[in-house]
Amino acid sequence: MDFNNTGITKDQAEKIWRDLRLNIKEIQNSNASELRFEELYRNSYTLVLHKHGDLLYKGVKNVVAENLQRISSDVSDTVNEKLLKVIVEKWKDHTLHMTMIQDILMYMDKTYCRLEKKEPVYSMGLLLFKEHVIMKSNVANRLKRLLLDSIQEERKGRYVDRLLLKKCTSMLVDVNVRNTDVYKEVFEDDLLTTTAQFYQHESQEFMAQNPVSDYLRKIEKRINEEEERADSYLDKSSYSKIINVVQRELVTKYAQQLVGNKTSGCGYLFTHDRVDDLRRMFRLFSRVPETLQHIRSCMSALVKETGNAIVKDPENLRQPKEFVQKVLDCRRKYDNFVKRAFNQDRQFTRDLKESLEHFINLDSRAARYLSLYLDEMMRKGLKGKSPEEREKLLNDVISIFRYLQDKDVFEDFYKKHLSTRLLTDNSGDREDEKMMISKLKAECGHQFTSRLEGMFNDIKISTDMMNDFRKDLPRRPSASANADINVTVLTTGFWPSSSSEQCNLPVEARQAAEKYERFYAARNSGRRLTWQTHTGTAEIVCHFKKGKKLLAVHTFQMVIIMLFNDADKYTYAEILKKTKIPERDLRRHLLSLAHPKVKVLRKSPNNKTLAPDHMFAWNYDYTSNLYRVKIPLLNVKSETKESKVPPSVIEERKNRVEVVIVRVMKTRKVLDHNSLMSEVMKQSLRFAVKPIFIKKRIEDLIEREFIERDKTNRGVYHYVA
Amino acid sequence: MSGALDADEGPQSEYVKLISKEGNEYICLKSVAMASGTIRRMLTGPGQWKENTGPIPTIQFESISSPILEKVIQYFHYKKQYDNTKGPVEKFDIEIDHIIPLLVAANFLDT
Repeated sequence: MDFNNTGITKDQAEKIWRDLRLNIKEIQNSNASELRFEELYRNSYTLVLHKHGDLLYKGVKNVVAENLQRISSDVSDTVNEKLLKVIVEKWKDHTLHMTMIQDILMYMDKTYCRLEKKEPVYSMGLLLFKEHVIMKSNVANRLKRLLLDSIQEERKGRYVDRLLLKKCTSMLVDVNVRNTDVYKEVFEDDLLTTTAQFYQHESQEFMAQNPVSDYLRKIEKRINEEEERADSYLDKSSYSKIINVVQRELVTKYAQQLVGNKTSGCGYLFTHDRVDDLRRMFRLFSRVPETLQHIRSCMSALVKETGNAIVKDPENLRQPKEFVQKVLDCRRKYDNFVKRAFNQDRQFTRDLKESLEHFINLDSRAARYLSLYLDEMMRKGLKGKSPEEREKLLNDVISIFRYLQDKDVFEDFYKKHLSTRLLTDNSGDREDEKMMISKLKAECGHQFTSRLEGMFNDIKISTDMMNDFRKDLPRRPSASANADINVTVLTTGFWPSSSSEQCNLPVEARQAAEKYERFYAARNSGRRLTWQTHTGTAEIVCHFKKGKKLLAVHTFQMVIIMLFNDADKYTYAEILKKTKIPERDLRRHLLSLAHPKVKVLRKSPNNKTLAPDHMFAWNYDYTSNLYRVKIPLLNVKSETKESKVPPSVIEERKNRVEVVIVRVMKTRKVLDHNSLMSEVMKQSLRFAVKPIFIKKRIEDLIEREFIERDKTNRGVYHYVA
Repeated sequence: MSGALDADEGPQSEYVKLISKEGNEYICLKSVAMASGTIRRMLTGPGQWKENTGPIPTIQFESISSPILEKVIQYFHYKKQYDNTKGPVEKFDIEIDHIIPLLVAANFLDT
């Protein structure tokens, strides 16, 4: 037969179709090897070419449907145990046949179907399978039952034929060609509901009888199983749906309960260092991020609780070092959790920081304690440790420093301690001190450390000066070097200020001092030196009956002792008059010499009080095991209440705020009250400031005529140039 | 065309045999013949058609005459040669008489 322009008659067409039909049936019987592709292709081609597409299409549809009806009864007659296997097999054959049929009918698909908007052959075949096999005779329900039962079995720990199940679910998806509606209707919808029920029941039961850590382990296992199952034989569109259901039933519903469980919940896990369990909890809760807040709140509450206990501990007064140590331990512990269990999560890090800040600043003494801790470190604690350890300890201090609200209180104490350290201990290369300063510089800016660096500089210059001074000594004609003197020159402003009232130095001391003054003036004209006699130490050789002793004392003590070169005893009033030492200091220094444990002087009456007529006598019977004896001073009762901010700091704060106010007003010239307040608050001050404090400063500045109120509107300020 | 004519690996064979209406046999490389969608479907589909059984896939075209079939095979080679190349392409000559039958055959063969 040739392709020619003549049409074919209806009869001819029907004959061609009948042949074709038989052949298609052969295909469906898996007998294609006897058939010639070219022939079948050509037949269908001819029909379509000659406008008999309708005939062909309807015919094919019928043939396929008929075949499927036969298959349907086979399937519905199969017993349940074999149903899945049988239907999957039939499906496989059907799709194979449909592919072959599609190949020979390719021309029809391309032309007729497209034109007439009919379902192409292959998908038509699939939809027919759905209609005649799956949706008939209760097969769908049976399939559903069998699939769901298999999953249940697997959940209980038994083995199922996963490959078969995969083929089945794929069939349900493919059979509806364009969407997953059949899959959903026959299988997925019920899968989701039964899964929810299953886990609802399981979790309730398990929770009731097991501690939290075990529960977490179990649900993690379950979730992993479900993920694996979904990957293995469910359609990929089900993955997220089913995991959501499982997560909701196992995690979301119980999140709060799990965290708050009194016996084995988060509280327990934190206090017993259960990093792995916490990590697991974090991991699981991260699937449903809103649940993480429960863990965070628990952690914050616990940190605050621990912190409160640390802060309120009455021992802190006596043992500031303990306080800092405990704070460091607390921080270290929870930092560890955040790092190892919570993956450095940003919100956890932030919550921890807030909780620490909260309790550290509950007590304004924290700043003082921290500085005491640092002082002890510098004096003793760092000795013998490796460079890494030293750096770490200093870093610890800095990290707590960061949480402090009243940073300037810390600064104030630090400066005082530092100056004492620098002045009393001239040994050491001070590497640690310098490291600390550079760390503080990194935190607070160079403004803070410039004065400190000035202190260091003074020490260095003084040492050089002393070397030069000593070299000069032998050349001086009036070399009555009875007193060997060691001078440190402090630049005012760098060092903590303290008033110094002059006392009557003994002759020897005065001569040495004047010698130095001359030497210094020759080097540095235009500078004035003031001796700080309330500080400083001296070593005197004293003669007792049993021998000489070298007493290491404070300057004032030395002044008192030197009096006894001229007489054996004095009254209190006499000592006061002769030495001109301020009374408050005199009590301390004098009583320390007469103290029962020291007894360089003998006091009558032998008590702690002082009256002008009390007598002090040199104790010639003084003995000691050592040659060089250090005479301690009585302790000073601290004047400022521990928890209050030191007055010097308050003064500094007033200044700070005023500087800021003036600066703002200078720039803006005119500003209303609220804007001024907010501008000032925006500045980063190293201390917390209350609005009322700022208000007071504003009023003070108005009084001193730096700013003035607007004539008409009291709420507006003007800068006064 | 190159290679031995008696390559005979069965359905895995590199060659196909195309037979015209008059019975003339033409052998060409399978890869070349795949230019035809019809032939391709037949050879690569899952079905085991009669054409696929035997030492070499054999298709008998009862509706295509020899000169047309030759021309078609020529076209297969032409297409293979110039597919995916850039630049100028040689003309493919067709005699006037052959035009319509060739178009019909091409339609049939989905080429």
